[in-house]
Order: sequence, then C-alpha cells, then structure tokens
Amino acid sequence: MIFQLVLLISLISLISIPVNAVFAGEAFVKDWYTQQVGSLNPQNIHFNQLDSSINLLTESGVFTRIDSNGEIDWRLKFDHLNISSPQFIKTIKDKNQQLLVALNYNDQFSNLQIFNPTLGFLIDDSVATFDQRITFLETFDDSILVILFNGDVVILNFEGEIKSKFNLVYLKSNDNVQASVLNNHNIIITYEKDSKINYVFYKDNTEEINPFSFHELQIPFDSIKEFVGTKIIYEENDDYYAININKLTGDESKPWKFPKFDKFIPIESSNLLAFEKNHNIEIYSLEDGFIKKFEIINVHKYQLLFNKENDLFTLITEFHIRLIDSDSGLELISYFIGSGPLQFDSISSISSISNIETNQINTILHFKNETYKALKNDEELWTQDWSLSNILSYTIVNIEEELTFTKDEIFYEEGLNILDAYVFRVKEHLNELYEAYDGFWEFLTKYFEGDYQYENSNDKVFGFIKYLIVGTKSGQVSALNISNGDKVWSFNTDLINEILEIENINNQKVKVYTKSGNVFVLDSLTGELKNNQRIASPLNKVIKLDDSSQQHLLELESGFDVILSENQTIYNENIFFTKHNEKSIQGYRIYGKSSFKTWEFKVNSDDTIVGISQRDPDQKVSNIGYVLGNKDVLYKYLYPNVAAFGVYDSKSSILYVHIIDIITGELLYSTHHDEVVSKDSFNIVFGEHWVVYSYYSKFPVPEQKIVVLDLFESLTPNERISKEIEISSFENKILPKVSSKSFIIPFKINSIGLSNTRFGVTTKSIILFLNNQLAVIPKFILNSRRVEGRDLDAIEKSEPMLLPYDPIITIDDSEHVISHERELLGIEEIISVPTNIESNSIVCAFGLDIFCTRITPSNEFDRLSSGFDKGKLIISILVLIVLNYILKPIISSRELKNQWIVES
Amino acid sequence: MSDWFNNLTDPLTIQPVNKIESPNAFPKPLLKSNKQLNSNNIPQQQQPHFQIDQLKLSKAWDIALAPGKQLPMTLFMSYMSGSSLQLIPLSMTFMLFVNSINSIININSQFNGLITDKNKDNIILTKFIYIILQILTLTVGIWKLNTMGLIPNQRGDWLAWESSTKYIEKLIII
Repeated sequence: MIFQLVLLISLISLISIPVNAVFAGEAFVKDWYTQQVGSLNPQNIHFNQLDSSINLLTESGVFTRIDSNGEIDWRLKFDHLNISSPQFIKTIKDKNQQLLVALNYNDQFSNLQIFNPTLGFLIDDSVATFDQRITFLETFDDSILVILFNGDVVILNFEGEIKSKFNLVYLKSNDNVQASVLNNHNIIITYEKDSKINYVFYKDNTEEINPFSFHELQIPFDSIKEFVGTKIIYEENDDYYAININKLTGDESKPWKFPKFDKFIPIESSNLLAFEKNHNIEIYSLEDGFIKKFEIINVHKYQLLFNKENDLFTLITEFHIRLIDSDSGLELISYFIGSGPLQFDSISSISSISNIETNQINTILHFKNETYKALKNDEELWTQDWSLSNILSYTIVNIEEELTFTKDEIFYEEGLNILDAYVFRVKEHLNELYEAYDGFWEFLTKYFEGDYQYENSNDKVFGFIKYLIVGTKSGQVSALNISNGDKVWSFNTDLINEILEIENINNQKVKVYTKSGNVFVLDSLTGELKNNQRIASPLNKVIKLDDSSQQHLLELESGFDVILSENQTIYNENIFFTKHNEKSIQGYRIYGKSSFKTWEFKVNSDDTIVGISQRDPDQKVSNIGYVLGNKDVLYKYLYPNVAAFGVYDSKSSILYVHIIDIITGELLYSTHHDEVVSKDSFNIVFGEHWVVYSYYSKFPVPEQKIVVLDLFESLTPNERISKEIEISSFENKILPKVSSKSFIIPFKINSIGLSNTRFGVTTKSIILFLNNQLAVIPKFILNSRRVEGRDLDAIEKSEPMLLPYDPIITIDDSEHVISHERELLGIEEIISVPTNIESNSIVCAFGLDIFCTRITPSNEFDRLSSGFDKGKLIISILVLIVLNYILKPIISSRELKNQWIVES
Repeated sequence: MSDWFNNLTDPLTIQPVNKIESPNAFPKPLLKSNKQLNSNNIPQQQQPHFQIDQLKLSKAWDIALAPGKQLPMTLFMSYMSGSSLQLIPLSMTFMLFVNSINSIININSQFNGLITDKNKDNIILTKFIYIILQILTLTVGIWKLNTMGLIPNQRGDWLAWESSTKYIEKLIII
C-alpha cells in the first residue's frame, strides 16, 4: 500500500511538472526601449532659464527639449544631414525666444527653419533654402548672416527676405570661414588663403561704392587660436599675439604680444582676453590698449566661460560656481556645489548661462562617458546617461540553463537512423523525467526545511535571458539585459570612437577589439576586466575565422592578416570572404596565414553600390523545397555562397539589382527598375532562398516599393537539379530561376531586418523600420507566387498561406507594428536572436534608440496559451487515478461473483 | 421435439388454418394440416431441407451484399464530411477501416451457420463477393484518407527525407 502511495505521489509530480512548465505570456512579455539624443554639441545648446529646460541639436541630428527633470519632452530627428558639416541652432530674441535651426543636408543643400522651443512646433518650415552648404551662420538683431560654401554671403531677416547678398570669391570651397557681426553691423569674415589668415571687412550702410576691404595678414592660418568680435589671437614661435581690428575702418592693429603665461583661455568676448599664469587667471582688455584689468587668484582645476549677453564670467571650479563681473573682477555670486569635487578629468565640455537679476546659473556638464549633468545654481537637477547611442559593435551573450536539447545533441540525433534517434530521444526524456523526480524530492526536503525560495526560471530555461553587449562611440562597453533593458554592467575603455568588434567567447567572456590594437577581455556576467592584450594596429576590422581554434583575420590598412591562435595551429582549409565599398566588391581566399584577392566586381564611374546583403551560410533550412497545394514541390535555390546588391546609376537614376556568387564572382541574376529611384532609399536583405529589397521611386509615381525575388532551382514542379552530395562550390553550375513580385508600402522604409529562429521552422518575417515605428511583415505576404488578377483555384487554395495578389501592403497597427506606441528614432540595425522556443524570436533594433521586443511570426505554436487550465487537468488526472482505485476492487469482486453463478 | 423447436427450424409448421370451407364438389384443399402433411407420402424432411438450403443461401447473399448496399451511403457521407482534419471525419474514416478489416477477419463467423453440404460452393462465392465489397469500402476509406492528405503519395510528402547539396568551401561574413 505504501509503495502504491509513493508511486501515486511521484506520478502526480511527474505529470504536474511538465504541465507547470510552459505558459504563453508568462515567460517573456516585455518590450523596452531607451530614448537617446546622441552626442551633445556644446555649440548647439539653448537654455530656457525660466523653467530650467534646455533645447539641444545634437551630433546625431536630434533636435530635442529636455525638461528640468532630465526627461525628454519631445524629439525630432533630421535625416540625411551632412555629418561633416556644422548644424546650427540660434535664439531669435525678438520673437518670443523662438529657435532658428539651420541644417546642412547630404544633397548639398541647406534649409533654415523656425521652431517653438517649448512645444517643438514648426513655425516656419523654410525661412530660406540654399542649394549650397552653410559654412557659417550668425544671428543679430532682426537679421541672419549666412555664409555659403560657394562664397555667397547672405543677410536676411527672419521672414526670409534677403536684405543684402554678395559673393566673395575668396571664400569659395572653403570650410575655414568664421565671421563676426560687430555692434555697428559691420562684418568681419576671416578665411584661409594661401595658408595665411585673410579677412574681409564689410561696411554696413556705407555710401562707398565698394563696401568691402580685403586684408591679408602674414600669419599662418593654422596658428589662429581664437577669433571673436574684433580680436584675433594667434600663436607664433610659442608666443601668443593678439590683433584688434578697428570696427569702423577694418584696419588691423599691431600685434600685441602676450606676456609669459602658462595656459591660454579662450573666452567668447570680443574685447577681453584671458590666460593663466601661476594658477592665477589674468584678464586683459583690448580696447584700452591691452591693459590688465584684474586677476582671479589661486585656481587649479576650473572652466572659465564668458556670457556675451550680460558680460559676466562664469567660473566653475571643483567646488564652486561663481559669477564674476567682467569690468571689475568682483565676485557677484558664489555657489558651493556638491559633496565631492567635480571630476574635471572626466568632463568633456561645460556649458553655462547666467542671469544676474535672478541670481540663477544653469550649467550642463558633459562627461566623456556621454553622461550629462544639469545644475541649477548649486542644485543638481538631473543626470542622464545617453551613452547608448552610436553603437559601433554588439554581441549577444546567452545567460541560460540548457535543460532541453543542446545544439550538439540535436546534430548527433540527426546523424542517427530513425530507430536509433527515437531510442535516443526516449532515453533523453526518461533522463529528464528522472531528474524531475529527483528535483521533486529535493524540493520537498528544501520546502520542509524552510530553505525553498520560489524563482521563476522559465525565462532562463526558454533562453529569454540574454545580455546585449554594446560598444559605443564614446568607448563604453555596456551589457543590457535583453528582457528589460537594465544596464547590468558597464566598462569604459577610455578610447573614443575606437571599438571595432565585440566577440562572444562561449558566453563566458567577451573580447573587445579596438582600432589602436588594444584587446580587452571582460567577464560576460560582471564586466570585470580579465585580461588586456595588444595586437597589431591600426586595423579596420577583426573577423573570427573559426570557433574552435580562435583564429582571427585582421584588416590592416595595408591588407589582411591572419592572427593565429595561441597554439599556433595553421588552419589549412580554404576560407572565403568578401569586402566591398561603394565602387567594387572583392572576393578573397585565405589559406594558412595568407589571403589572396580572387575576383573583383567593379561598377562604372557613374554607378554606386548602394546596398549589399549576403546570405547567411549557416542559416538553418527546415525544408529544401516549397510545397504547392497539390503537394508538388518547387525546389528552393539553396546555394549558400550568394549575395545580392543594388547598384545605382546616378546618370539615369536607374536601380540595378544583382545576385552574385561570392566564391567565384559570377553574376547569377540581374534585374533593373526603369524608374527614377532615390539613391539613399535602397535596403536589401537576403533570406533563405529569397531576396527582399525596397527603394523609393520618384518617377513615374512617387511610391515606396518593396520587391521580392524568390529563387528556385526550377519553376517546374518536382524538378530537382541539385544532387544530395558534397561538392565544391566551383562545380556548382546551377543558376537560380527567379519568380518576383513588387509591392507598395504606404510608409517610408528606412531599414530592413530578418527574423531568425532556432531551427528555422517558423515562418520568416521581414522586420521594417518605417517612420519611427518597427513593423513585421510575414514572408507569405511578400510572396512572388501570389496569384494576380483572378481568384485562387482549388489547388492554390490548399497551398499554405497563398493569397491573391494585392499590390498594396497595408500595415495594421495591432498586427504588424511591434513597437506599439513607442516612437523610435534613428534605427540603423535590426537584429533577431533565436530563443529556445522555436516560435519566439527576440528582436532588437538600435542606432540612436535601442528597442527590444519578442516576435512570434507563426504564432505561439509550441507554447500553451495562458487560457490553458492546468488546474482542471491536474484535477481530472487525480479523479481518474482515484476512480481507478475505487473501481478496481468493485470490478474484481463482480468478476468473482460471476464465477459462482450457476446457469440453470 | 418440442413445438418451439419445430416453429423455429421449420417455418412451414406454422399452420395456416383452413376455416373457410370450400364449396361442394370442389377438390380437396391443396394444403393440409401439418399432421396430414406428415402422414402423406411425400418423403419426410426433403422439402424443408431443400428450402432451408435455399433460404440459407439467400441469407448468405443478403449478408454478402450488405456492404455493397451501404457503399453509396458511405461514399456520400465521406464526400460530405469534407477533407479537413477534424475529429468526426477522422473517426468516421477510422471506423471504415476498423469495420471492414474486422469484417474480413471475422468472415467465417458471419457465414458459419449458413454453410450446408449442398450450398458450400455457393457460400464460397458469397464470401468472395463479401470480401470484394468490404475491400471496396476500404477503398472508399483510402480515397477519403487521400482527400484528407494523409497518404504520402506525393513528392511533397517525402521532402523531409531529401537533403540539400553540401558545399566544401567555408565562407565567413564580414
């Protein structure tokens, strides 16, 4: 009886444990995102002292308002900005503190807009547009001074009416142009000519025929240290000199040599200059003939800023923020800040604004690790970490318990015959049952001893706990928990814009490669520095060749080099890879320690390679054919060594799309679109046996198009050309047969990604970054076999997921948009990471913002729904077991009685 | 021999009762009572036995043709229940198979009581027809399975056993 009882309990526990395991909606229902603004440009900060908010136009082209709590109030991202040119925001004083935003775009044009700084509303979408880049912009009174790249100098008002315009041919094609508008509205423009400093003096409101006077200084342009107002400070033979330009005549004064000093301090004042000597700051006046005005004594670590609006100095030291009168040198206000000293070594820039009437000083500290701190007087308003924008490299680390089958076990099982594989699988499951049985007793002991702590390990078991490890431009390496976005750890390499590659080593360690050749080995779980190595530098790329031998390929400026593993085993196998730039694609072969260029695909001088996507050679393919409604098979073109790329012909604006064999360099397929295509709009992704690409067509009809090319071995059903053998890629003589369809999407596509699951059984999905949203479109919608112009026939109806052709793909908010209500900006990369559950895949998108969620392209086919009633199931099983125990004696007694009945 | 035995084995012993007298000068009635019949010169048991064989044979034909009579109905039902993989069509198809195969296995017990020395050969024929008709029913089942897509007779059904070409060269993605 006791034995039966034990058996009963263990049976219940064995049944209830698997039932208890899987519930949809329990394991991973979280999505998260971090809003980023990008790196701060100290020139483009606008303070609103009334509410202590700031407006920023960052290096990433984000125009934003940060409120007094450090929260992002609103953000606008300007796309296609020319990152090598300056962008400007300026306050318009007369107009209720509106902001003038001047932007330089990629296509060599620029635009001036006016925004409301509080609400972010666009007030004037185009004050003026120029077909040139702006090299300099300044506002004064009711006017804007704009200097363009072609040498045009334009003065206009805020309504866009041009007051005066002239061309200075000397400024042509010159980025080193600076200008200052004097208070009498005369203008000084400095520029570089024959490597010397030159300047133009422009007289406003003059009767003279030629209002310009050109001046050349016999001073090298590179030596210029500061140009503000009428003062030019330059360095010659380790001495500093100042020149003052007469604001009426434009003539320069004789150079005034600085007395010996320790450090020059640039300040935004036209008539004052400052330097440090023996830890004292000395302030000199230019106007009265270079006389010393006052000294600020005994300063060590500090930042001296000059506020043009009220002629006050703001001096920020380790412990104080002070306001100093620029006339007398008197300290007007002093605030004691913080508990500890300000870490000046880690500060990249300080911006400040002060108001003497309200005694208010607002300061923004920009730290090197891309954190920002806002101070109002001595009070810290907020600290924000915006270091996660500008991701240079990333990797995914799995933090999981592999309770189910490991990859190796699956490969082993697939190598067995059906019977052995079945036996193997049954044995594995029995082992698991046995472990569960053991676990039950362990749980019982723990439970009664009071040691038991409930933890939901579902996330771990199902592979939802992963770390997204990112390396940013600011040199930070940060690990983010992929399920909730928490920053688990962070490591600072102190190397700006140097991180090349982050490599995951067995989920235990990560290796961070940098351009300078430093390699940091970090612990995946804690971020602790384990090891610091040095390899050859400088390098552009690090690629892991082989998992087991830990060999790497480095791209040096001179070419490629293979770094061998520590045990120096030479990898004697042919490895191929490709490299590409705008004008060519090159194929390489590595053998041993050398690499050779094997082929090159070059485009014409008018053409540009606008996008390339290589098929993942390790991609899992669950089925080698596409099964039709009558169960005939179209064999997929599964040759792994292919890439697809787009070529834009700038002469005719035509887009060409090619598919190339990247081992031999042969073109396998080519197509083109006879439309006027926008060059920047091309995105491409190579899936299993298909290519999806998108482009924006400007003519004949402006539309966002998305095209699918399905590659088959043959378009005749049941015709297989490839063989089930192992051959060399050089013997592959099969060309793909392509079936294609194009569609229209009523949104602009900015980037494309592809979903990825553990075994490749789930339907693939295409992930699109549309206008501020992330959307998922299942591959069966982008199917080239969709029937055009008629209804489906009986056979086609039974073809899985085949739909009649509809040229417009509608994006349904609830069905397709996975970013829900979130506004994503600047997504450049979309990745998909498989989980242990085949139906689920984690999708992360980053660039400026980071957003992670999970998707189920074929619904949750391998998970029980949350409506599944496990309680009822367990009760039913219990009732059945009890009934079994009750009915068994009844039946046996009846059978016995039957034996005793004598038929008459 | 008790009456019930006679009644069961020899249906002719159930007597038509002649209550209506024939008019005069009419010959004697053809049918007589059971006892009178028995007392006549007709050899005993011969006529019942002959009839029993006939009847057994016709019964055997009835049994043999029964599946045939059900066939149109089965076909109609199979057609109407559609090709979707649902419980009722599936169990119906399953029953088609189970019943037919069971019937074929238990064919002897079906015809056991009907075999006599004289109709042996004919009974074999009926058995044969019976089996053919059961096989026809099975065929309906197979057709049904096929419409449901459960018979792996197409290229697509064996696709999972086909593998792709392997290529020797190793490729890395930059």
